[in-house]
Amino acid sequence: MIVPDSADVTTDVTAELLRYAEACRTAIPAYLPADGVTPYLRTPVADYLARPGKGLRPALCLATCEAFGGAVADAIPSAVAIELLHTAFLVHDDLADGSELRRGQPTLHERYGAALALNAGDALGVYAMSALEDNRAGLGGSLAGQIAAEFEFMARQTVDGQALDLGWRIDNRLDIGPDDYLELIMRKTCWYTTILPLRVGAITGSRGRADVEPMIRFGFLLGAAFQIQDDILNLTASGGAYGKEPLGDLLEGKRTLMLIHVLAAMSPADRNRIEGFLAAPRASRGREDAIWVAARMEALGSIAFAKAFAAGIASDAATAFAAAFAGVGETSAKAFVRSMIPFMVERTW
Amino acid sequence: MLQRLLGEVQRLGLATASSVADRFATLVRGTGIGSPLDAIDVAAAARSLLAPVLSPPAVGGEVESVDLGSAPAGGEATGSVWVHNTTDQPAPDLTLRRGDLIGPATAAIPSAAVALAPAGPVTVPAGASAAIRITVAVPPAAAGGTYRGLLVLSDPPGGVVALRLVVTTSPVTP
Repeated sequence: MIVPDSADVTTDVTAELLRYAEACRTAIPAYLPADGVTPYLRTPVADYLARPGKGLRPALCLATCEAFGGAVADAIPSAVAIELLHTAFLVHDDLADGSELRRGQPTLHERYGAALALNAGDALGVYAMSALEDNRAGLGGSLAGQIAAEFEFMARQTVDGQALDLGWRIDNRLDIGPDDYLELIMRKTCWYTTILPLRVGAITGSRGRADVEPMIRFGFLLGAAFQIQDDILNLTASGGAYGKEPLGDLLEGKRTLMLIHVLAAMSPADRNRIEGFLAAPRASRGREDAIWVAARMEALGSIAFAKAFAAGIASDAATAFAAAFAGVGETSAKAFVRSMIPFMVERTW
Repeated sequence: MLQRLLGEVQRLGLATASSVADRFATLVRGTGIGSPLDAIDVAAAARSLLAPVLSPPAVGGEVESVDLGSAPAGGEATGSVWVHNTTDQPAPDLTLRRGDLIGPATAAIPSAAVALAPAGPVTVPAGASAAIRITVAVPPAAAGGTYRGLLVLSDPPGGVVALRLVVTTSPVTP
């Protein structure tokens, strides 16, 4: 049945985001070991989870499940698995990148050392699999198997994308273009941040009957807008709700649209200086140099370029959303997912 | 000038993202994951993609002109038409009708050689844009020269986009 959209159905995106995220957060402790586990594991595992993140990924999954006719409870195990895997990725990424701050506090390896942080990241991945296993009881073996296949595909993309990101930095690749960047974030970020939550939500809510292929396009446009804005915030945000180390991406040598642009736009002398900065080991890169690179990006229009690039991507997200949610009745859950489009571009945290 | 440049960057962003999304959709289709459990509902979902899901009816749209560049006789030229719904109302069921591309003297490329994707009606939400991919299969016997044609937006009537294509009769070197 085709139900017309209604402009009357609106949503407070921040309040709804918090509500969905809270539903997931409340369910997480049931999947973590309570007794009989050493505090050397229990404490670091619980650390990041106790810091309030946006809860974007579980919220997308739970809302999409509702929009496709399911109940929030139906998708809780999958939402928990997404959040635990996300947390595991963060722990390992922070270690690999040498990041200092996560959600306004020291990263796990800074606080507990690399070895315990690495182990906690492994454990979070294991607990995510336990949550996913709960889908068998709630949804049946066939649907649970379909969802597990989605997770397996996502995980392959994520680790491949992370390897590509690290490899570019290790080899100090400077011949990266915007298309390479989008390929990278499709694998490393978008699949697990937006595409998987949307697809699993739709599969769960429709009991496997939805065509989830259009979610790839919608999820990618949404996720790419999210990641580009994240990269911009790392250059322009200063403390507050942002929670990450300002200019951390530059200090880590991360390839972003702004870096791609500034490398192409700057003079040969300036380019030599930035090449030297990127070729140096992470610990040797000075904050003064990072501030200089950020200033060149601002002066040469690299940030404006990234914003326009993201705006172009987001401009088609509404159309992609209509295709992905075609035939789905208008509800507050659907309105919430739609409202994530401007949120991704305009957010400051 | 700056606005024009930013507009070009926006188009680059969307075109590049579209290419990546399309490639991954093909990749996932090959794996079989995410295939609906009930084939009947797949058909329903596909139909619904082409059905008017937005109301009230469309109240306006704007289209651009498109330069398809150059292509050799027997080759292929591609481009995209952007439909921008600048109103605060959704624009459902927009279709583009193709005409022949008229070339030098009596030369013409028939409208049947102009393919649009998606081929069916497009719904553009309020304030959003949609891309329609154009592919021209240049007949092998096409004469060299500049060809021009029109695409007409069927609903609302009156919207026109001009196409320009240069056909070369010898291989184009980069």
